[in-house]
Amino acid sequence: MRRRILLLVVLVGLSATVGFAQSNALIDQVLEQKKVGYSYAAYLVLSAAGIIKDTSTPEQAMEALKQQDWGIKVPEQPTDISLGQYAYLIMKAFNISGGLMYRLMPGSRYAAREIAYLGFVTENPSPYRSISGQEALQILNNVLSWKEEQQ
Amino acid sequence: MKQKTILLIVLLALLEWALYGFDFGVNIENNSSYSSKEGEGFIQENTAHLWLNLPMGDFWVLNASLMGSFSNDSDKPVLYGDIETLSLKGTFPHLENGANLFSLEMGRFFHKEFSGFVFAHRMDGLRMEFGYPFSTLQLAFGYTGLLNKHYTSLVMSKLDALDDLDKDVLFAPKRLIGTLSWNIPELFARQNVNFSILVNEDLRHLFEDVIKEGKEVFDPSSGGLVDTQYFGVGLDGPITSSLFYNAFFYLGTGRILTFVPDSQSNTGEAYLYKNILAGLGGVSFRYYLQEFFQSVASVQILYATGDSDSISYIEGNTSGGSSQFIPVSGQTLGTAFTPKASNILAVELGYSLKPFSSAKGSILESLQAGAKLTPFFKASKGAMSEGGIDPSASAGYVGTDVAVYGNLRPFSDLGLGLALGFFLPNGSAFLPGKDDPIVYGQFVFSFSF
Repeated sequence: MRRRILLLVVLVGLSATVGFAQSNALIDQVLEQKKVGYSYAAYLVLSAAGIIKDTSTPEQAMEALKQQDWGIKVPEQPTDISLGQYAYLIMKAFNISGGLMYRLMPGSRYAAREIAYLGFVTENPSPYRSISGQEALQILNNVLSWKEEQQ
Repeated sequence: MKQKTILLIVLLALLEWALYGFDFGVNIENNSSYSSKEGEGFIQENTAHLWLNLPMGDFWVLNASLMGSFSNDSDKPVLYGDIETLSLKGTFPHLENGANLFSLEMGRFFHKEFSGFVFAHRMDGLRMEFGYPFSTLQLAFGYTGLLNKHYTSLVMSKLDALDDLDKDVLFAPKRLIGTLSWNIPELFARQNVNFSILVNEDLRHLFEDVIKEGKEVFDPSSGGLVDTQYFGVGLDGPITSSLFYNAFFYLGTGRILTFVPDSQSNTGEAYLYKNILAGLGGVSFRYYLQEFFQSVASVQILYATGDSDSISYIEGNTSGGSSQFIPVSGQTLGTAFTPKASNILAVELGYSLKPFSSAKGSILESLQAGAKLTPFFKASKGAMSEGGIDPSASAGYVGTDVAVYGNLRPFSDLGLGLALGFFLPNGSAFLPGKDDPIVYGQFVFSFSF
């Protein structure tokens, strides 16, 4: 019960602050995931960045990701996303320039460093670790708040 | 052959498990400074830190960092290094509802008490934290005698000071540190309360000879033990949405070896351990004015008791108990003149701003420029930690430290810092010929990859 309340609070909080309207069912699925699936993460980031519609599906998000010229090897099979991969998606989708090393060698390693430096990640910033659905949404919420401050 | 193959497979599987999710990197730092203080001059230190972060399962993380330095400081070797940190940390949900946490850290880690003025240093030991819904209890023990002395600031006794000068001694003073801390966040009106007990036990006598209590002849080439305890309470929080404060007080106790008149001695004098009863207090206010270039105006007052009969900061007590506050290792105020929190009253006025804070996305956006003005006073007659101070001079004005600084991080992995300081002394507080103004400059460059 307590867990449901926590999820609801996060959900309501995100709806209010993030301001994009994914379906509750999809958000619920993401929040339930201890390790976020790649397609769900792609859906969250691309829809938040306005690259796909929020009525899209995770599968459509993966297709849209393949169309981007971001140098990402999009997995063909369902898989979990690492923090570094998620960070790299965010860097590309929100056009975050990154540090010197990221500019020289763009990729998940320095993307994870960048989002940790910007304060989007508060826990272990290892690019290779998995992330939970709740953490993925929290990171995205931080990104959107930061983006709003930048404008 | 078959057994070897199985063993190899098991080892490879373990290695794969261990390296899964690990992260590593390098930070390099160049620190160039100039001080007109006697015996200092231009010093350049280049330090590299190789760090590793290795999650091990759901609960444990191994943190390791090696550091190596190249320096032209005549007090240090040209090349030296140390294990900066090496700790295994476990974080566990304590109860079924997950509201409480228990964490355990073992190895070498950085530790500090809540104020940072009494102890803030690396040590080898164990740290446990119990997170309850309304407070956090922390217990830590550590040993400092395995640290490379060139990366430490733990000198408290005469023998510590002699070892610090001895090029053949590699390790830091052998001290056992224990802390018990209780943090109660937002106890009332968003005010945080901290309690801390810190025990510093000098273990030198377990490894080498020290002057024993009762020795009747003065020995300038040796010294005794300095054992101290600190009992602190602190309060911090917001007063308004823009104004924050921090206040704390530490009662310091302990013992210090003192060569004093003794009626039971054949020579009329003897070494005796005398009690320490001292105090340290501080209060600071910070006012944030985000609208005006993210300005911060601050005032910080620090007071630490002295001892009127002390002739030097290190084991300088000459009569009765000592009322000189002696921190183990902590932060200091000032830029060109940086005395420890001992026999001091300092008032630091500071102001900083980010002049390009509105230039979003510009490499100058992070530029922070500031200035500090810090008048220093002696709390009582007696010694201070800085050389050149006249211990026989009574309490009063010592001098003013003026500093300007700038910090810029144009990229997340590149940092630049510049600080310029000037200390204008009050001649009557210094020994004759030791009252020259001090000029100080520092440039820091750091890069990580």
